Amino acid sequence: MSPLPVWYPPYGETEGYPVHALTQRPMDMYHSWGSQNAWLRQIRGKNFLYLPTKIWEGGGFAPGDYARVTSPSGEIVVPVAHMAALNENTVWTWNAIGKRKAAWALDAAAPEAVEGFLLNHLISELLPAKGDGHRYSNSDPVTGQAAWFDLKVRIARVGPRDHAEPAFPPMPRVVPQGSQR
Amino acid sequence: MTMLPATTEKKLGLVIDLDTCVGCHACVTACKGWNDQGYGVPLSDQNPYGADPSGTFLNRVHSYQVQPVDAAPQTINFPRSCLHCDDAPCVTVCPTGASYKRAEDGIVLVNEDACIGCGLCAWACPYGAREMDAAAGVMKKCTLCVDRIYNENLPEEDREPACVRTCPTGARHFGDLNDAESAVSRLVAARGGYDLMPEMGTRPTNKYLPPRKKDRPDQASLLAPLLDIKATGFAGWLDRMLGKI
Amino acid sequence: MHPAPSVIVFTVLSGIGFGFLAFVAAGLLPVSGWGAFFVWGLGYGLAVVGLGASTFHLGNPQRALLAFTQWRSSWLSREAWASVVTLLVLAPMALSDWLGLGLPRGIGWLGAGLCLLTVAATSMIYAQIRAVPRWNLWTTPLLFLAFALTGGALLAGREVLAPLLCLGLAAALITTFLLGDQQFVRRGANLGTATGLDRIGAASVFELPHTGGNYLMHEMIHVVGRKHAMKLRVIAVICGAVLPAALVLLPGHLGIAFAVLVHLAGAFAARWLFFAEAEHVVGLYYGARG
Repeated sequence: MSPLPVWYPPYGETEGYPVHALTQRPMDMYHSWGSQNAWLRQIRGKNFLYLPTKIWEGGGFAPGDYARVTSPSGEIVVPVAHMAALNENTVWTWNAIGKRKAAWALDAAAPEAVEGFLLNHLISELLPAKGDGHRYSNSDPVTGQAAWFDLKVRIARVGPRDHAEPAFPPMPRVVPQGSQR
Repeated sequence: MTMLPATTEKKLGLVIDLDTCVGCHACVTACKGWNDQGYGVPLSDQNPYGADPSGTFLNRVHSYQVQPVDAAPQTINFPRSCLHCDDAPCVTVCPTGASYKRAEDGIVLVNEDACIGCGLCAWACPYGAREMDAAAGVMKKCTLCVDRIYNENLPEEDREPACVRTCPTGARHFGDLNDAESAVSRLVAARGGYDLMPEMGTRPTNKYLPPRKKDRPDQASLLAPLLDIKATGFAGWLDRMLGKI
Repeated sequence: MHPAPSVIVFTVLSGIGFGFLAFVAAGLLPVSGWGAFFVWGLGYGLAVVGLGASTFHLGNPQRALLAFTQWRSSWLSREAWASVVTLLVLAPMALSDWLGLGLPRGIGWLGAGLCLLTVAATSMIYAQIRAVPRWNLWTTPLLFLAFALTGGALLAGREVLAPLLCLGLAAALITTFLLGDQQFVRRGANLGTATGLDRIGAASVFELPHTGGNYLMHEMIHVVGRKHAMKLRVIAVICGAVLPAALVLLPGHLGIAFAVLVHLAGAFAARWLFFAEAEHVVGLYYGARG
């Protein structure tokens, strides 16, 4: 097994899904530092799907809009923003901002839970069946980490909204909501 | 004392390189973290776990997109913190003397014991360098880590502002901008470092280095320098004669 | 700028208080005995309540006395001294009028001058702020003085002077609005100069530095709808100047009372706009003013 990066066309159907969707780890959140201070939330408490100029203008988007993002495996409705310096066939967002309501000792109305979102819902847990009929896990074979650069989607404007979808009910709290740092 | 010193021996400040800043917010995090433990009241937050958190930070990183006239657009990340101005308006407006500029190194500071929290210094600052700490009722700002730079309890390599120490891309530099031979002064001279909002008359000490010019795809050819060679002497004469046929 | 009630109340009441005291001190009201006590008391009351209101704006009011120390550089410090010195200088005149002590009116004229200096110093607190182009203009002290004198003249029931000053106030308000509207652009501050990115091209905000709120955005960035602002400007001129000019001519104390109350409504509208319409250049970094 070689550690060097390779490229091959995405598995599965991509006809009708012309846009690449990527994510980046936010540098200022728990994936990058040893712990998470509550005040890091103020830097990035919600995320947008960044649309390049061609999609922004072609889709008739305006600030405050949401979009329906559809992949072969799923669909989400998320806030969008314009990014000029972006490849015209690619959209992206920040990982790990979207959180389940009442998770992380946060208020159930926290922006992370209401408007924040993950692309996970667009991606299948399992790869398409291989020759032997088995479907392997759609994650890194060594670390098990899920990081995908072959996701393809299509985008459609839905106008202004006040919450992202899918939206799940608050989860039961295992620790009380934090009140101080 | 809110009279400005006529001159200062040193002009300690920062040089921010907009070419190499990647907007990672490490400097924001390091600054907030260091100022949670140093002198004065820790930087406070309001509703940190709530639906609408807010709080006091001394350094913020903005992100802009820039569209040149005939080139691809760029994303530029832009750290903003106190510029320790030579002609600091935040110092002269202060009624209590809490806001002052040190004569020995030019650092602008707030004496939190004298601050009444009137907010006038924040109004006077064009750059938004000063924020009111809602829990303490006093104004706070970048201290240029005055509690690190002279601190002999720290190893020598740590005697610089926390934001400079932590920057992973080398986009922040610290030094004496009054010394033309210092590394920061030479950097400013070499890269064309500039003031923010010079029309405000504040004479900032901190300088910003502009992003470097990007390659233009249509000019990236290796052969481009060879296309302009003109033949001289006999070959040039032959060239011109042949061109007339 | 966020229009804080404490600062609006402070500047309006202390303005009309010192304006009224100027007229009283100059001996333009024929009062003596308990009439003088009431009139001087009203002036002192307005001025002191106004000054007191300003302390509600402070994060640490218990240290407010320190605000007297930096008069060499700070207009706020100078204003603190001016108001205290004025009230002290006026005291013998007030006592003289009340108790019939017969002290020379010159003390009153000196006090009246100090009243106007106090109002001017208050206005300079705002006018000196280069980062708010709309305030950083000669119209700011003019407007504060016009309000103080007009309010004072109305409260003093001056049937010729008050309407004339009302006319002046209307002119001052309209001039301030119109010139103020142009100031931000005239100063040449824009996102390009604020970031220096005009060296590269046309800059706009891609992402804000924080999704949580902060002091700067709450204090310095306040957006007023144009129609809303227009309505308030009209109220400021009509209630602040036009109506009181007529109302003050009604007979007796009732006329004065109506004129002053309507004037104060206009003054509060004008002062609210003074703060709400003031754009601070730091808003440029956050994408205000495109």
